[in-house]
Amino acid sequence: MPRDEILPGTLHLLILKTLARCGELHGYQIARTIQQNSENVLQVEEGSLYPALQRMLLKGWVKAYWATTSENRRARFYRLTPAGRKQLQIEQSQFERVVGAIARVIQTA
Amino acid sequence: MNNVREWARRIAILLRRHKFDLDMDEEIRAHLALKERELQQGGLSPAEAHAEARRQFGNSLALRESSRDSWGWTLLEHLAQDLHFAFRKFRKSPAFTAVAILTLALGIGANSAIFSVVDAILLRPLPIRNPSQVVVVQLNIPKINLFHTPVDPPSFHTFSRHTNIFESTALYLNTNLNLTGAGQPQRLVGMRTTASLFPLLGVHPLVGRTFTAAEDVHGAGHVVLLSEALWKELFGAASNVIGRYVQLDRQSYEIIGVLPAKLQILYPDVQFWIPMALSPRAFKGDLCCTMLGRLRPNITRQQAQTVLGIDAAHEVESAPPWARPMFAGFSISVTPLMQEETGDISHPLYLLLGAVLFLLLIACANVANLLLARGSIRSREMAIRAAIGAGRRRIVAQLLTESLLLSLAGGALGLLFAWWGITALVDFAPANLPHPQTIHLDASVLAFTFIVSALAGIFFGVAPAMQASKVDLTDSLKESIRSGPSISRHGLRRALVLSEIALTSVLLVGAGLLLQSFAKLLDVNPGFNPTHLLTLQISPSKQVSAAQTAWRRQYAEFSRTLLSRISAMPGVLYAALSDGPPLMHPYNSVFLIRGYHPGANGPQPHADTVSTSPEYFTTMKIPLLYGRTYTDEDIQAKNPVVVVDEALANRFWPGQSALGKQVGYNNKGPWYTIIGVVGTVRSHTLARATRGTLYFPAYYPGMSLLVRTVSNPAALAPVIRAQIATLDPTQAVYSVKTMSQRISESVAQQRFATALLALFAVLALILAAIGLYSVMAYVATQRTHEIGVRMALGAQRRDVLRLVLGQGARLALIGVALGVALAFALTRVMASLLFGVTPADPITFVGVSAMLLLVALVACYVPARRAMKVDPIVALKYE
Repeated sequence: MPRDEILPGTLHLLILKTLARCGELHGYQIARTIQQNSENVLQVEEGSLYPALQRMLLKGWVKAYWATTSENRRARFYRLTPAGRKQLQIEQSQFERVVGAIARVIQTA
Repeated sequence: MNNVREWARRIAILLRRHKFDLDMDEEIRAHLALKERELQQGGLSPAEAHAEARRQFGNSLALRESSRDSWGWTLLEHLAQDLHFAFRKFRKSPAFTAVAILTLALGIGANSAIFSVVDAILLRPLPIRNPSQVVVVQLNIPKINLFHTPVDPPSFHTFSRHTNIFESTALYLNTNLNLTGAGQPQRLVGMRTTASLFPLLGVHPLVGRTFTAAEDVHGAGHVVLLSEALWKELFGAASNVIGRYVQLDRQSYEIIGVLPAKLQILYPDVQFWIPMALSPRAFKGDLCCTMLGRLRPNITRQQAQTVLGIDAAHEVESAPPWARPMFAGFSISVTPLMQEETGDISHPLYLLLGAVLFLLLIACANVANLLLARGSIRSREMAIRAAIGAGRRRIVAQLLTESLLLSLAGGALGLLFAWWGITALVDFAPANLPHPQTIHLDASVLAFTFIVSALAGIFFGVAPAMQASKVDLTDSLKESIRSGPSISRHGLRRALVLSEIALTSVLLVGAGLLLQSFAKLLDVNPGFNPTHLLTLQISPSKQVSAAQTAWRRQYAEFSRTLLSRISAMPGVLYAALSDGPPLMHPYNSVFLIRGYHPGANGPQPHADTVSTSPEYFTTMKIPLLYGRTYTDEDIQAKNPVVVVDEALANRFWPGQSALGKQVGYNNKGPWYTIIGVVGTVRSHTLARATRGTLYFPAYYPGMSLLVRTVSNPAALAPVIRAQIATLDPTQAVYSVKTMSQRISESVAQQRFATALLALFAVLALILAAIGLYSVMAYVATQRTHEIGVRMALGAQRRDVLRLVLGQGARLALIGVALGVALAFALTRVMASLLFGVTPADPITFVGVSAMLLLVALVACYVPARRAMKVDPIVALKYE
């Protein structure tokens, strides 16, 4: 099934939401979760995932730390910060507003 | 607050870059491993999974870099990388780096030096309160050729009444007095001023106070303010100097204050100030004094000028009928103080700044050429960079960083050159360069140097950077240089050399014109014999008005005795006294000619008036043309006499004898009969011809002593001083110089400008020659293969020489042609500095062109010879 591109600007929202739902994940897991939760529609490019994570680290929305996975592998895990939670709310409401507006425009009864 | 934390995180990452990279690498590896495993589970073989994972993942290096980018330090990191790389590159080619930095240091240093002079003198505001509102009020009386003259006290009072224009006004004039009562009398330079001056300027005394209005009244006011320098000299800067006394011209003055040294910037060498204390009749009608005014905050100069213009009109109307023709065209000028202070010197200084900028442009062109040459050598390096992913912008950024590094290093070294230059300049500076002691490398000069260095770096770096970054990957990665660099690279280097030659031409023409002017100036016949002539100024220690006849007779006796004693000394031929020797700006006044009425529109007769002792003309070796000169008897005689110079005689009695004609100052007499006509001398400057001089026989206190000696005049100075002291110990003797010294000082400004411009022109010529040489060497090397072919086809070595020289000569010719055209357009700017030479003087233009072509041919000769000596077989194989 052809995979669609992530809408520009929504990657942060997707990552934040994923982390909010799942607590702590490492990079690979985030990508997989988004893919799974979107029923394979959305595929996150690693080329955009990691830069995005770095940006979110810079802004203080997520926190990163090294830990071992269930298979005893060393990986860097990410977790939301309170600021991140706030950002999630902001971005979610913004997204819903925009999408709602678009929907209204294209809905020609 | 969030911003602060964000910045803190940024800085943390910056400091732990290495750890960041390691972490990133590990994270990527982990991600890849997991992906691989997923693919394996999906059915691919390990090898296939590995490859597919990597393929899906993409460029990990790019990923790591773009992750890094998110933190925003990329620019800084790139800069650091570029700097590091540039340093390494420069260390590997020390010769290139040294030449480039030296060339830039020369150009930038010269600019900094001249700029510091311009800054200190023209740009820095005067050290007074709100200097832009202070103006000088002067009169213009065109009918008697007087412009921007001082005012007389009645006019001062009239103008000062306009309190709606002026917040305050002040009046002052020079008064030099002898410091007496303390050993050998010392001549001091001083000013008489109204009490309003210091509040007007906003200058506060270091110690004590300034004058009160009560002290500024006639009869009162034997108080004095000392300059800081005099305070240190006489009292060792003692703090208890207030209330002590000094004796000036045998009068006691109480010291009430000390003025700060910064006042020296406006009033150099003024050592004391006393109150004006004008009597109602003093200086009436005498254009004696400088008037300053502080304009009210909202008043402009033009407004003041208009209002005062009305006053001028009134003054003309209220003048007596016989004086009214003199006032035609009378006007009042209101000039900002700053302009008045720097008026004469601003033009030559800005010209020098322009010239030195040309020098910098030539230096930049040379360095650009060097960079272009390097660019072609580095084409492989550029190709590799492009191949591994550097965008054009990144390459250009790196090359510009190198250029900036060069230019900033050049700027730093240039500051050192500038510092030396300034030290030399200040020593060599002409007398009318105001306050040279304030010229130094201060913050604004440093800022200027930095900005100029940065701009220069960009200016000469851009074109080579753009050139070098234009990479044709396949060609450059292969070894072949046969195709050679593109025509455009050639063209750029040629264009640079052309512009260098053109700019050098302009500088050379300018220098040539100034040199000719200077030579012509020194060639001027001053009208007298200046060699072996000593000048001294003497003044008695008693301020007297000329009306005290007893004193005058006594002084005449003293003068005659002094002159006879001095002429009798061994080594002395003649001695004389004069109150207006040549080059010392004699008085000028209007006079009347008996029986001549100029009419309403005719020029009023006016001339320099000089009083001398009878031996003056013999001492000065001024030729007597007709009639006779005066003797001591004529001074006492009932019929007063006068001697005129040829200029005056020809002006008023052309074609006839002036002997027997009579002149005077008052229609009621006395009339002076002209008994002789002498040769004309240059009374003011070498450049300015006088309009006429009247010589009167008289002895006045304060005349200059002129001594014609057999040989070395300076050697006799101490003996003459001693002689004067023996005769009258209260005389102060000062300003002892030989006439040759005075002449040299009078042309100091021209010498200064000429020497500097000549220096810049020579430096430019050297740089341009080097530039031309390097381009020709390069071009000749490029054509080696072609030369081989030509020789193989039968060309002689001579033909090759001609070929290369011809190319160089063509280049030089075009450059010179451009330069001459440019010079033609630009030299009119310096017309006011020239003497006896027009800005389009053909001799200069032809001479400069010839010299440049010659130098160019010499510069091309070496590469041409090298090309000529090439072995054709080697040349053919040359790729």
